[in-house]
Amino acid sequence: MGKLTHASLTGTPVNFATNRLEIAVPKGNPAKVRSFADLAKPAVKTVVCAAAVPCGAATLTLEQLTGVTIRPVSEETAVTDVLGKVRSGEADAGLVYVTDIRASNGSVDGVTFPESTRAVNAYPISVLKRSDNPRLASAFVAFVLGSDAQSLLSADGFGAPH
Amino acid sequence: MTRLRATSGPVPRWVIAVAIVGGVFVLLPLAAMATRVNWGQFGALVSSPSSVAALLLSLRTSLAATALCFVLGVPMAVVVGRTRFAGQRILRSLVLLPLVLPPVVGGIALLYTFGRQGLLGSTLSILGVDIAFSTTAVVLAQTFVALPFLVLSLEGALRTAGTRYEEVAATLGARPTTVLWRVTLPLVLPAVLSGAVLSFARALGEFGATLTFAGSLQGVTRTLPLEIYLQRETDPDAAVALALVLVAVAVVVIGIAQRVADPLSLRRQGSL
Amino acid sequence: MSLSFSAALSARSLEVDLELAGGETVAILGPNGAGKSTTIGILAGLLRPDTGFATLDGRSLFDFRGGTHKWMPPHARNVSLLAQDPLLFPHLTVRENVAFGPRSAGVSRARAHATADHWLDEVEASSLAGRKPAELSGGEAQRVAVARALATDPRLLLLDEPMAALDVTVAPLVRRVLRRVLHGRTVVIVTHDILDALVLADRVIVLNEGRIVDAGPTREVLERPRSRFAADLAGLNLLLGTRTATGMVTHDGDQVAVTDGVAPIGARVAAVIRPTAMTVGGAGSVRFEGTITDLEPRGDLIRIRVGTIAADVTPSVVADLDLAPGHRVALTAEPRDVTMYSLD
Repeated sequence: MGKLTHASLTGTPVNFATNRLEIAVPKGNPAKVRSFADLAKPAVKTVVCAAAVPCGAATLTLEQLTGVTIRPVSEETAVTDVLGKVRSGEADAGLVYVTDIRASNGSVDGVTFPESTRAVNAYPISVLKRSDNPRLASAFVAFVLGSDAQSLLSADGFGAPH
Repeated sequence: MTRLRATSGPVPRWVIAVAIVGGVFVLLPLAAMATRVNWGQFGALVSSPSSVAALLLSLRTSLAATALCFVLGVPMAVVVGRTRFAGQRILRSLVLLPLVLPPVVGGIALLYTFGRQGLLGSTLSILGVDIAFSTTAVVLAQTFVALPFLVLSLEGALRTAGTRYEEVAATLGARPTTVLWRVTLPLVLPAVLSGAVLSFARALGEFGATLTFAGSLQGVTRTLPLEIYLQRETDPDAAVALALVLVAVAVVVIGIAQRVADPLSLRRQGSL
Repeated sequence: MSLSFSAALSARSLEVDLELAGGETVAILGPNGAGKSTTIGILAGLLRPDTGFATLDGRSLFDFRGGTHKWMPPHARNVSLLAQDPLLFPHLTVRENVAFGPRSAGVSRARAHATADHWLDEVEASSLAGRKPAELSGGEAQRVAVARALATDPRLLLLDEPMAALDVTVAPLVRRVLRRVLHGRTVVIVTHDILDALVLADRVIVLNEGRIVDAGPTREVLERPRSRFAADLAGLNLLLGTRTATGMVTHDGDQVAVTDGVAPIGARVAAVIRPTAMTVGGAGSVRFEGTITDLEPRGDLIRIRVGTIAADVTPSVVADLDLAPGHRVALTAEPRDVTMYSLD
């Protein structure tokens, strides 16, 4: 979005949802992970997203803010790969978004941690200036920001926009 | 006679035309990629710490996988190519399975075998061996996909070479092990070498099984293909530059394979 | 007895018994598919018979009699095989090829090479020691193969048509080398060449369709063949039949008068007549009437075939009598040219 606004291709973006990290653990949480700091323990095999992808960037931010240094056994390119490693029990913990754990249909357990609020991802929306159908686009933006869509997003685990 | 003349005569023009289309189909995408390389930055892109780490890891693991392919593949090829037993054809097909399986499937299968929760995983962890997320896992994944190349190449050569030299060696008092080392393997050496080179090439390009089974960590499990895949997210220039490096390595490897396979071929023995 | 061998292999319809004294060379002769190479293969341990046994110098090579199933693998037999093709290992030098057997027996490299050099000298190939097999001619390669086979000091040496793939110009040298190095060795040589049998073998065995049809000292088998194959090798007309008061009656019903008789009347007998002793339409009382099936040049003579009987006559006879396939003629001989002997 930054690139788009920078290039003046959109109007002012508005956030429509937020997301934060949560610790995914295999069913039953075998490594007894309770907190974000637990992920730094050498005995806990933690899988994170690579810094190049958004969930990895958020992880890095949290580490810097909290001073907790995770030594991951793997930095995956995609959230699904992190979840796969956790689901199969290869890893003891993985850092993914709340919504990813919600969408995993209970195949992994989630461990929430208070520090997650310090690195919140926001999802902006905006109509493209060169849209062929600006009215329809505006209507869609209004729908996404409206109560129906917001309750759907909330049900999937997204946080309210700030 | 007419048939002989037809096969040894000139190739029909339309066949040449289609062959050219096929060649272009293979080479054009590579050329297209080369046009996107940021040549000004090329040196810097391919010599960044993460790129160098990925390249070195790839070379290291591919060499290890090739060695493992040799250790496992030679006996497999000898058994498949030199013995007869019930179910041999089925076994032969199964050995070649990794050739046709999507690598991701291979990765999942390896996970359920050597992974922490896998078939052998608990036994291995009792022995203090932890394969998951280690360089060993990368080597296993590469070996799994590369092994059929060596087995296939060697088995074909063994069949072509026949057993006459081995029979003579036996009547000269050579035990089966001596025959294998001093006669069988030297006779099929070109095939062993070209099979090993092909295995190396396949190991070098391994992506799916590694990603699924070994993970991705710089210097440990993130091989060149995984690095390319990751760089694609943030730095397409770096990804393209690294891809070109991989292509170059592959071309060199294939060139070596053809060189070792050709001049030492079994032609000489045929003339005896 | 050095070698006792008895084997049957139903897949190749083979049933052969063989006894060899130590130091004896036996040639196995016979048409293609007679089972010669199969016999060699069983002796070498490359083929397994259904039943039978073999002992070599008191050691059992295999024993498939009764319930037993003893089998000595080829490498433990000390039986060397020299095939039609030299099959020198292409990746080894000539010296290394010859040293291969001793090396496999655990001899040190230096001693194995010394043995190799000795045998290369024996086969007149010392100058080839450093070469690769690809750099040898056919005759050179086969002599090296002989040296390689002998370098293991085999208890039994098997030669499977060793001269068959050689140029006629180099075969004599290889044959001469073989004659020298085989002296005093126990050898079985398979050949289709009568010369090999004469020069190299003490005895011959003639195989046909997997059975021994003729056996004995080489000279005797050639002079008094009991099989069509042996008679063809010796270049003789063979008559098989029964002794009568005046001579013999063949299985085809031809009466043949003979001057000297050896067997009692009614005994199974064979007789041979040299084709050069036969004439066309002559006065001899031994007569074979029939249609000419074939005319072929044979040296400076023409061979005329009437059924199984051959006559070698001069070209002028063929011209004078206007002989051609399809003509009816009588091939004749004098009784004194017929050599008859008992088969019982």
